[in-house]
Amino acid sequence: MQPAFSSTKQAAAFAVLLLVILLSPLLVGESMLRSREQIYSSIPWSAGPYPYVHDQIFVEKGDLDVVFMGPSTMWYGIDTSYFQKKLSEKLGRPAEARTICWDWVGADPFYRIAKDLLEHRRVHMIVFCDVAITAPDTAHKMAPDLFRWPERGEDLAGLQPRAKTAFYAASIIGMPRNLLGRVRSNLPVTGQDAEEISWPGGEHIKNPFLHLGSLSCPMIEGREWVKFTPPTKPDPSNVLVYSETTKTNFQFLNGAATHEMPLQPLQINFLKKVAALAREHDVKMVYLYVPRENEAKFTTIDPTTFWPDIFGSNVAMVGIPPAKLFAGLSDDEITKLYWEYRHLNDNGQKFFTPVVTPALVQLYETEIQH
Amino acid sequence: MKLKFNIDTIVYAAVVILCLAVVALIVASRFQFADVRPVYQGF
Repeated sequence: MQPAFSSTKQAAAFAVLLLVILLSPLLVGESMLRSREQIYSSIPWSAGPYPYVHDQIFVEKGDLDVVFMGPSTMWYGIDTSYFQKKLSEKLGRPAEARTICWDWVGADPFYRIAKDLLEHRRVHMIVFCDVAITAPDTAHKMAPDLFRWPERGEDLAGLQPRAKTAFYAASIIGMPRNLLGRVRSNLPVTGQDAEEISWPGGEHIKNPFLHLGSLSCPMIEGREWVKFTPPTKPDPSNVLVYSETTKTNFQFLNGAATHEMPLQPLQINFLKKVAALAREHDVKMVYLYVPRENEAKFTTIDPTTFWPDIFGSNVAMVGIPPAKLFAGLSDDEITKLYWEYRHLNDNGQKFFTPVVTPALVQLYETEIQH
Repeated sequence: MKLKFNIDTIVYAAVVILCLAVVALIVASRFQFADVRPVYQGF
């Protein structure tokens, strides 16, 4: 068998290389890393809506009335243009609504993206969904991009050692891109005006730039796409805001079938950091229950957690029991509203948004306007 | 067998220790971001 190294010198060089890589987060200071703007402009559509997130944080200016935030559940779930139109009508002025999301569940991207957003723009209300449902107790897939070790003080405070180790490892993975981004700038984001965007596995998708950030997905898993408008419209008065009088319609940590595990310590830690950010920047938080297809028969609203435990009094919880949302629809018709069981498709987005919009608009009016 | 501590031993021991450190880092961090399958759009 050939030896691994042809000489001791070669082995020593390999050892030094490993040592430098392992210690790189400690050796490289913040001044040697790319700016956070360069982070967002470097991530392609295939990893999430970062070209649009970059635009919203670093390019577009002005206050935002309502921002829908969450993993792809929210990205696919809300027709932001419809919501903005209805909010404008209610307020009697042009309102500004956006969808600013990420791919894959996790509270650490929620914190990181919200922090960057709120440092650049005034946001009055953030509507979020179950951002960390089934998310593991470790750093998010995008942590090598979104997290940098020099920012660990604030970002990692209160985390367990193993979670901190995950972020340390993430910062090693992200190091080459961070260093390269300091040496030269990314090409500017292009294609904002294109009708469609594509990535491997997601061809001919309507460009979220033209839809205030939301993604309308013309797909149904395992069958041909078909446009479908349910014959019945749910009554928006069935949408409930959690209170003493409505609380029997909510169940927490109920659905063992759908919520495979409770929120993990890392996820709770970052959600509490989002809560602190919201207080610091005076943002009203609203939790919106976006039901999964396998929850369609649920007669209650089933959030993953009791959100006031994390956000205190600065959160309202809104939802419609799925059994009322999908009342009168067959299983086959419900399937036509989903791309797959966690994501509403274009049919589902157009069905779901008008149902929840009046309650969200009303919340904005009572919580923000007055 | 008597182990002779010369420079070769030290260098190769360092290589082994550092490789173990890499493995430990991967295991300890539950490396979900090292998933190298084609990017799956969605959750």
